[in-house]
Amino acid sequence: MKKLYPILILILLLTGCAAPGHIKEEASKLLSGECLELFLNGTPNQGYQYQAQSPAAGNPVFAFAKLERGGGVCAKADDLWDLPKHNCKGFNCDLPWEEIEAVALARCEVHLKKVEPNSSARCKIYARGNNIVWDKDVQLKLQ
Amino acid sequence: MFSLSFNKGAFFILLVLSINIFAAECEDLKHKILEQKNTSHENLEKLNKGIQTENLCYKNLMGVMLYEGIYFPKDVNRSEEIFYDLSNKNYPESQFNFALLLTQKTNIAPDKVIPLLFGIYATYLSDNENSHLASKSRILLDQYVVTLRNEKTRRSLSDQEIDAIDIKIHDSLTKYNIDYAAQKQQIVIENRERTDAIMAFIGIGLIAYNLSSIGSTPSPSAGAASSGPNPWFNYGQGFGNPLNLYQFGL
Repeated sequence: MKKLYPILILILLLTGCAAPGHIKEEASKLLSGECLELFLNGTPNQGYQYQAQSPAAGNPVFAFAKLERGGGVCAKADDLWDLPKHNCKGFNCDLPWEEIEAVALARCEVHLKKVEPNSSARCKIYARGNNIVWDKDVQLKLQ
Repeated sequence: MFSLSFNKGAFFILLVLSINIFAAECEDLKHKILEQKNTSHENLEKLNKGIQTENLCYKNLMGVMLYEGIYFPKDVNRSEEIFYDLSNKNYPESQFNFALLLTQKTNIAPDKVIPLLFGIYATYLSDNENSHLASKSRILLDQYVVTLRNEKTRRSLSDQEIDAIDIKIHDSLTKYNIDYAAQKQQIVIENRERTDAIMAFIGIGLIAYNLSSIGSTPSPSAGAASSGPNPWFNYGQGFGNPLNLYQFGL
């Protein structure tokens, strides 16, 4: 039995993190095809779900543009692989979500221009980690 | 000399601490007054003291209270003046508040409001303390276009003009984000190359060290395994090296 432990650990590492049921369900309401695949990807290190569920793997953001003809274009970014660390406070080097969002939006727009150059669709933030913010009304008020 | 530098250091620490305490107190008061609508005598006293110390956070809070008519009679013009004044002193939240008020005014042209919101977005995007204002400004830009469409008659704007504004906002924001991402990506690549170079240097050093130790006469410490209770690591010690194998210094 003990001989099986390394194999079990290896299998766990290779399978990565699967998305929780309710996230899978909510994501599949809007996302499909490659975008759904990218969002649910649990591959260790740079898979979106792996990062969304492992605090040390970086904070990922998912941007999405809904196309008129159906489907959509998307991109992800995170603070571990795509942005340099700065303003570290002690051991906390987390970057603001807004910075990661800017990179995700930029990538999504570039991709959108390539795939659908004449489309009037626009990239918007779909999720911060597993917090899906798409179509959620934000009431802006005085600060 | 030491006491002088120590005093300076202590003064600096005290200053930083007092600023942080002030900021935390103001945020706490802000929550009590704006969220819980608690305008008790104690809270108003704190507000008054804060304003007298010229603290910008308390002044901003006063502006919000005037705008919303909390405790004071509602006075939009006065609150706008306060936000404008604090904006010129670079107080981030007032800058956002001032921009928010401008989006609601029908007599202000969009080209006066939009650059302000872009300015807030670009200034605070990388600022850990105020980055929330960057995303709020981005959202406000979107909402502003909707407001313009809803109020196009009152604002004397045609559909074509609003479409043009909409496209201009989107293109500018996209261009900014693309440039920003490219700039950050460049830094990431440079950092990675630097790390790779250091690792390669260390690697070459290790290889050179190993090569230099291969041909030379084994010294008592180089060939011998580390001592300790583990019999495998002690193999060959005391009884010579019967298999005459090269032993790695573990």
